[in-house]
Amino acid sequence: MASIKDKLSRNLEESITAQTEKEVRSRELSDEELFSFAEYDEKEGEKTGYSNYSYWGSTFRMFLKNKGAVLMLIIMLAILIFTVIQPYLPGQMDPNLVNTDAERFIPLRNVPPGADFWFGTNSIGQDLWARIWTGTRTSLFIGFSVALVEAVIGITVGVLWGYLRRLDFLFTEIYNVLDNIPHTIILILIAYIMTPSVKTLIFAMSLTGWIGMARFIRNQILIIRDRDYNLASRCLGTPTYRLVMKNLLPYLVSVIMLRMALSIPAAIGSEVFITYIGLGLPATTPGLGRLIEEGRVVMMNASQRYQLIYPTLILSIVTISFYIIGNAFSDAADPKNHR
Amino acid sequence: MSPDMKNGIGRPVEPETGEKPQVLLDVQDLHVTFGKGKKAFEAVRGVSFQVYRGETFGIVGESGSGKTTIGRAIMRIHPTSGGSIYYKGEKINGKISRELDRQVIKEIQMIFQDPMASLNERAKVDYIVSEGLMNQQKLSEEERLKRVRQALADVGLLPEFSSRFPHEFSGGQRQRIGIARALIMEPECIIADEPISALDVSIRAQVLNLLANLQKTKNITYIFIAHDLSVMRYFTDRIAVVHKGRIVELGETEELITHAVHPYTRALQSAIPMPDPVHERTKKLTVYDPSIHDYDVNPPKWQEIREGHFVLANDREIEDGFGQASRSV
Amino acid sequence: MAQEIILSVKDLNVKFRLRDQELHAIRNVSLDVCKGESLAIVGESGSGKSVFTKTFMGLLDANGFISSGRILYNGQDLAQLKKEKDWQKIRGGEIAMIMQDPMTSLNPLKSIGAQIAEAIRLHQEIQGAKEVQARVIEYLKDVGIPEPERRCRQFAHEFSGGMRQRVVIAIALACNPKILICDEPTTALDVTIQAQIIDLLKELKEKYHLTIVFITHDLGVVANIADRVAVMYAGDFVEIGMAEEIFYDPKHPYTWALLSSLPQLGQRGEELFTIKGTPPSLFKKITGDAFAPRNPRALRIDYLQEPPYFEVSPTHKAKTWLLDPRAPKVDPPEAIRNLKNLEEVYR
Repeated sequence: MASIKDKLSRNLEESITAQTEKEVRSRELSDEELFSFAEYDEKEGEKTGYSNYSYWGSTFRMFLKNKGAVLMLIIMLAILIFTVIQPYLPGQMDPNLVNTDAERFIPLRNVPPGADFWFGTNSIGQDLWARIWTGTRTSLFIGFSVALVEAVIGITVGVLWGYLRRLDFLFTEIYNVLDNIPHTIILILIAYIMTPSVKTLIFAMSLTGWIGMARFIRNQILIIRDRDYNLASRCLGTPTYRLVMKNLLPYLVSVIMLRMALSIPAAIGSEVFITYIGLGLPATTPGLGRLIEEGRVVMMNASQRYQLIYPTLILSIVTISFYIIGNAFSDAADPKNHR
Repeated sequence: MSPDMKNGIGRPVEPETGEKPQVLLDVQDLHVTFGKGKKAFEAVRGVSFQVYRGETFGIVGESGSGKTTIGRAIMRIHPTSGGSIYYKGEKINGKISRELDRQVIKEIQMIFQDPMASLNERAKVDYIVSEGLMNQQKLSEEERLKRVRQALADVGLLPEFSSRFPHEFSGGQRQRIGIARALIMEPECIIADEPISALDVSIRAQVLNLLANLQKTKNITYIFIAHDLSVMRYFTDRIAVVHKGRIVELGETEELITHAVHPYTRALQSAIPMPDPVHERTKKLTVYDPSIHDYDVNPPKWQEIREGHFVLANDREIEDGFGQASRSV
Repeated sequence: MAQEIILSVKDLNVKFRLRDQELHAIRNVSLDVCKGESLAIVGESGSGKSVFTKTFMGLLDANGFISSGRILYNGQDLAQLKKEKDWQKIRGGEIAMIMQDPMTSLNPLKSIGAQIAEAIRLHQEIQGAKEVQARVIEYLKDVGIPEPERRCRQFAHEFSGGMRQRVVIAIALACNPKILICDEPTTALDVTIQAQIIDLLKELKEKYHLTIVFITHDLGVVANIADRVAVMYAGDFVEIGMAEEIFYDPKHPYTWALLSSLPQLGQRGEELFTIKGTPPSLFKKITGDAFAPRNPRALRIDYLQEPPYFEVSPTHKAKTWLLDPRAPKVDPPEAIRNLKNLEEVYR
């Protein structure tokens, strides 16, 4: 049975003989022919190797090469999808329902994880499994919303601030004033004045979050605004709007992505903090902050420590994966790393 | 600057045709200052020259001499702090009308030094080349592509390059993309700011030939900025030598190089590397030392020493053949 | 040449791994560097001239490697060195390098005096603070930095481009090397500064008994400094000879092309000679003469068979079929036939 290997080697042999034959034939050319002028095609030299480069294509290819980040992305997506579909799955409990013993009508407090309650119950008998997923959903929603608002306002202001020289002084002064008010105070004040809700928290965090983003974008713009290619565009009379969209922002994609990825866990962290000081979301809309706070109270009791460990675990996974994904993406989006 | 500077006019290019050469660009006592107050630095200190239609006017000097700043002041990248720039008789520095602004953008274009830095890395060649065109007029997609193909063909690039990104090209090809971008505007005047110094020697000749051919076919006026007098000699009709923000010598190329008077011009000349080892090894390098000028009592004036050949010097320097005496000491 | 050979490269091949492909950057190159000479390596960007000299110092990028060949220095084969520790003994003390951009080799946070002193302490016997300081001043004087006592306390950003390059040279000297590799040290500088730096290198070469390897893309620049010139194309030397031989009697069409495209030789109104096209891709196997596709007067054999070195004189050899007795007579371009009398023509 002639195996494929044999076949391949025969093919190889054949091609080698063909090549040597060619060479031999070349030797058969007379010296006179060999030493005559060859034909010359001028156009030939201008051609360069065609590479089908696309910015986003290369970015994704580079990202996929980072195995750790891809794994994190998969975990993150799984968590995200699960938080959305979890309430519709069969056998899920209401996160706010206080479970009671059917016979004795006593709330099932601090039941350790088991077959009935996968993650156990909390100190008033609510199902921790349901509460953690609801809480993760709420926290992620807050995180994404804040990151988005921050990016939109921060980029807009940052571009104007960095690009229009006349506005630099004004913006810098405004920045100095705003930045000198401790963000925590603003956060606490807003949370205190308005009724605690998801919207309030998003509003309070966005109110200060964009300032850092704007400053960051402004510095980036200052670095690249007078590069030769931008001068060239100005010499061609390109209007500012197009210059920003075509020349400036595309260069900042990777750093903006990184900042956005980091501001999501930062917002969740703020939510935890606000809840910790007692101004967070109402008890009926659990966020990761409230769950951690509840767990912290019973932390010293070894048998109830699970109430802290589960929500903290989720928070850690979310934070770390955003950090790793953000870094990996920002590296991948930098064309210096392409090819 | 002394009022004498204002007469810093060279000779027309082709006096034999009898036609009076047209002044395209007239720079009068130009000053450019960077920074304010104590930190202020005057990069251009009273420069005057005229550029005639169809000629190649060279500005040569070391880095920091202000030669690039002059070019960028004409392009209106840097605001002027004094003096005037007239294009076709109209003042184009300071505040100008919208129509004039559009006209100047279209008619005066620039080629940058570093082909690696002057192209937008995130845009395709197609966009880069037609960018200026889109700013000027609304064009159908078909018309736009046609113009891009034409511009690429003019600089010897293949039409299929238009869908690629700049980083896929070699330095020489990128510089030609930069030229195509300027050409598509159908400019009358191109300011070329050291267009070849970042390129390999083997590519320099390509770009110079291209620029020369474009001048012939499209009758473009060049202001050619460089630090290398050898390139100047090959490429320009007249040369202004700039040192520390002032023109120290100006004249027709051959005249200026064969009869260089100012010690700075001579230093530039002696620095030209020649492909002749025997001569190069024995060559004595002239280094310019500005302290040889004694301008305290006798300030320098802008004087015509031969027809169309001007130099910034005081009377004593003119008399004793410009520091010949001081150099022999 | 009855000169002592300080560095001998034999059949060197360098390859790079790039995206599952292999790039053959240096293709079977042999070259001897003589003690006390200044050798210029000339070639376009991408010809491999920098890669070639980087192998002497173990500075190849991580994806590059020597696939075969030897680099003999002092009875040691540098191609076999693997450990950083072994390379440390070579770098600086034996072979030092000056790069195109002085800022890449200067520490922005240390005064330049301290940087020179560090090099002295590492590579020389001198240890006392006073003695070291005295040497620092001397080196700065040698490289032509005025007021060295004051300036040695300054930082790199306080110097102009030309002065920075002088500082880098001073640091290299302080390592007390036998061979100084200058990788396009003047490309980023003005012509006036360039001429001064080249004069300086010549002076230092005599004073410190250096062997200089000067890398550039500009043949015009090396006429002054080079005793010998090696022209590199697509990872191989196509012509090697004494400077006079390369400039006054070049044999390879590529050397002709490099010389005749110099703007110095151009006449106003006439086209300059240009080399069309781009160098060949080193990812592919090159058959025949690598320059043939860009040579308008290439012979048929150039496409089929690699030319051997033909000896023109004991010091001059070129890799072109044009030197074969069977080849038709092709004259070098008009513009470069009379470089000896260039002076009269030019000024």
